[in-house]
Amino acid sequence: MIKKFYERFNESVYIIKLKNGMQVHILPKEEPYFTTYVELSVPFGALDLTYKNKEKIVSTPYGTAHFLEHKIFAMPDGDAFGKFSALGVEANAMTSYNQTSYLFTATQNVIEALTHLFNMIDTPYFTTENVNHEKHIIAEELKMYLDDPNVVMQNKLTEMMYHNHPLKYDIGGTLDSIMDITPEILSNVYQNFYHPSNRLVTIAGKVDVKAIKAFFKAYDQKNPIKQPKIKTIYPKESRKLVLKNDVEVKDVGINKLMMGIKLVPSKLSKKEQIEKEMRITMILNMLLGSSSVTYAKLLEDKLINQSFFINTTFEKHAENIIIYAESKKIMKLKKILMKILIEDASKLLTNEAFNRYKKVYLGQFIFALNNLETKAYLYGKYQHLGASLYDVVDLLKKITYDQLMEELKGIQKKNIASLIYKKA
Amino acid sequence: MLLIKNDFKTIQFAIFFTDFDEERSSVYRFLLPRLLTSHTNKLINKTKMSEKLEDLYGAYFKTRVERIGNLSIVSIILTIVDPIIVGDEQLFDHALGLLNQVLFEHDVFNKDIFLEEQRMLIEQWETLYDKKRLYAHTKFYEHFFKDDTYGYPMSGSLKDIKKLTVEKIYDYYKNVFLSNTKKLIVNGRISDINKQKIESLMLHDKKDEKKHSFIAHFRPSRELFVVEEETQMQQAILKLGYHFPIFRDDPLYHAAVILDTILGGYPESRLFKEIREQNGLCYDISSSYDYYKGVIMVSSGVDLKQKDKALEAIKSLVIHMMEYGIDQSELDHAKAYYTHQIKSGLDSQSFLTKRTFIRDLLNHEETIEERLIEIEKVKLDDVEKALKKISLDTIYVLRGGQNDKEIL
Repeated sequence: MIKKFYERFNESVYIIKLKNGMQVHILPKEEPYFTTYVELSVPFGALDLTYKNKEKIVSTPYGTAHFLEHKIFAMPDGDAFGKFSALGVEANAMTSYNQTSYLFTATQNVIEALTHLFNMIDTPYFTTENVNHEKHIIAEELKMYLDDPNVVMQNKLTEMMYHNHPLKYDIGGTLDSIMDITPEILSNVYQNFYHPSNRLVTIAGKVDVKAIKAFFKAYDQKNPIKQPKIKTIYPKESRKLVLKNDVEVKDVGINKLMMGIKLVPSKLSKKEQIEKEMRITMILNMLLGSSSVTYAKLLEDKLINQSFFINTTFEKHAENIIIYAESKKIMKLKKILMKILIEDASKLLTNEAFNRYKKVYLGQFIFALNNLETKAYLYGKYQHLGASLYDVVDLLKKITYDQLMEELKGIQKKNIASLIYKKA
Repeated sequence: MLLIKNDFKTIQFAIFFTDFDEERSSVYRFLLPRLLTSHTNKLINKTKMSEKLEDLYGAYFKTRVERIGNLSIVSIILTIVDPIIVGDEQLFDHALGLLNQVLFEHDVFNKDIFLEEQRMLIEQWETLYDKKRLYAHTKFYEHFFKDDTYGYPMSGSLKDIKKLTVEKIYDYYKNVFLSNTKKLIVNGRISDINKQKIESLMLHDKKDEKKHSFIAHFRPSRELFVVEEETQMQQAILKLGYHFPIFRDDPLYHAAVILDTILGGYPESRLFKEIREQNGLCYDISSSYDYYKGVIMVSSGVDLKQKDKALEAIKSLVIHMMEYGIDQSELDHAKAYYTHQIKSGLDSQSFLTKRTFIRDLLNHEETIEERLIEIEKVKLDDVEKALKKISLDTIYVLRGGQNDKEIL
């Protein structure tokens, strides 16, 4: 077991590397602390749709990772939630574009719950009946999102941006694609991506390190085989947009605009990739964040309201920025946003704002450390990306003002798609 | 001032303004915290305010208006990073100075900022219909809590918002809001010197004012009231309001909390297991118990084509529970789950801040340990007694129309 101590934040990390390849990272909190947070994650998410298995290319329906996340809770003797509840712990799961996580929080029975979590993960139980039954539940989940115009717009906009990349589909898939999911597909994916070598366990909060170590030692002895990692195959994606502009007339209260900037994915190391994401986020905050001159002007001119937001996505072979606004002067807003992004940006990024944002990022990092679940989730996320959460602060220090100016060049007019929902 | 000392990596300064909940003051109380935290005498516009917060390592204000029984609470919370971690000796003083400015240093309200906030609130109303879940929630409250302040929009009505002027809201701030019962709670690592500085912040307002008497009350149960509304959507949203006259100080309160947990409070609940897992009628379903109003509300987004079946299934499930009660394992699981919720809350800074305020507001003496003992004491018999008090009062359905696109 390796121990690392981050003096500045008064945080320790214990790392256990199992023979089967699984890693366990422990982030203990000193007493008095009551909660233990456990997250088991695999680097298999909504984008991992096509992969090579024994020289054969396997393609799965959109939404497979999310579907599998639901069905992992099915066990031969009933739903796994029952036992978690009986132990007095709260269990949950989530699927992102690049990973699936199973987690629980406990204030008692940690080892029992950990045993149950591994029992659940190690006992796939997919039957035609339970898979078909789940289709109804997931269909209602998807329909719930489809009743939200923001989600519908985002789905449509990503279709306008991407020709082939799976990012164009919702994490949960589509109402049609989930109908094609079978127990065989789930079993195959499970065998290839859920084996212990692919798992990362993050445990944070109140921790009995000795007991945890003993648990994983025993687990390693029972499951000693290390398996090779399966590589996802991504389709080739053009740098061009599928469709640049679209306007739809809808039954909405106020016109809505969603702009998508398709960035050119770079061939960078994982750490460089994290740095790039930080630089882009910083640029956007300085350009259009709440303290920017442009944001104040857009408000003053009644062009935006509180619904205005910016989102970035940095995934394998696909990177983009999404800007959303509601406005009664939607065409004017679109024109101004285009001008800000393409013509005025370099003049608007000031050194003063840059230095302020560095402080903000340090603050945000500390805010994240304050929340057990956020800390453990981010720790796992960065670990899958090949970095430690605590090193991210050092990456921030390396960012220079000149780098931001260079990064700006990646935002080009020809790569901006826009979708408007016009009030009927 | 109440001080919670602990080792979180952030410090929270939370101030709570309490007054009686009245329809006529809703719009003022909703807009006021937004105005107060958007500018001050020195920070003359939103940009200056944002710059200041960014300079304080991304410190942020969180404001909220909420109803607790007959009371209206406005909270303004400033969160900063612990100055020791970032090695900034002036951070604490700057943050405290900012809080003081936000609360008390307003000679006037900037008219342009007021008009901007007013416009955004109006636009929020204009887009309410686009957000089906929020719309359903608002309409359900309107029907279930008709003739009660709970049924009145928290932001005031659209008419109230349009009629508001900067002069009127400033007058309310000076003559009403600042005279509210105020409670400052500071949560984080605080030195004795800094404690004195915080105390001096509230010095000019030392008179520990009137206490508002708390009343938990709701109208009597009525004959079932059903409203169904059609819109363009893929699902149907079901809202069921149950009359459940067990309030926070009732001896059956802990049994009522456990009952709500068993009904729809977690993934092992009856609603989740039967309506979602067994019948596959929905993705989300839950119940919530408002112990200040004595009601239980059930909410679910269901398959449009099966909404009648889902509605009947939910109603039957509750009736079955009332007739046959619950079993010992359900009781044990719910107690274990709820106990975990309470204990884990103790690790959340925001939970501790809020809990400290509520205990003070309602003069609650009960400690966490005592509360856990009370929960442990709940017996099948107590839950059955609580179940006898449930009666279905209001049903609200928002559904897609017959002509909406079929997708399955």
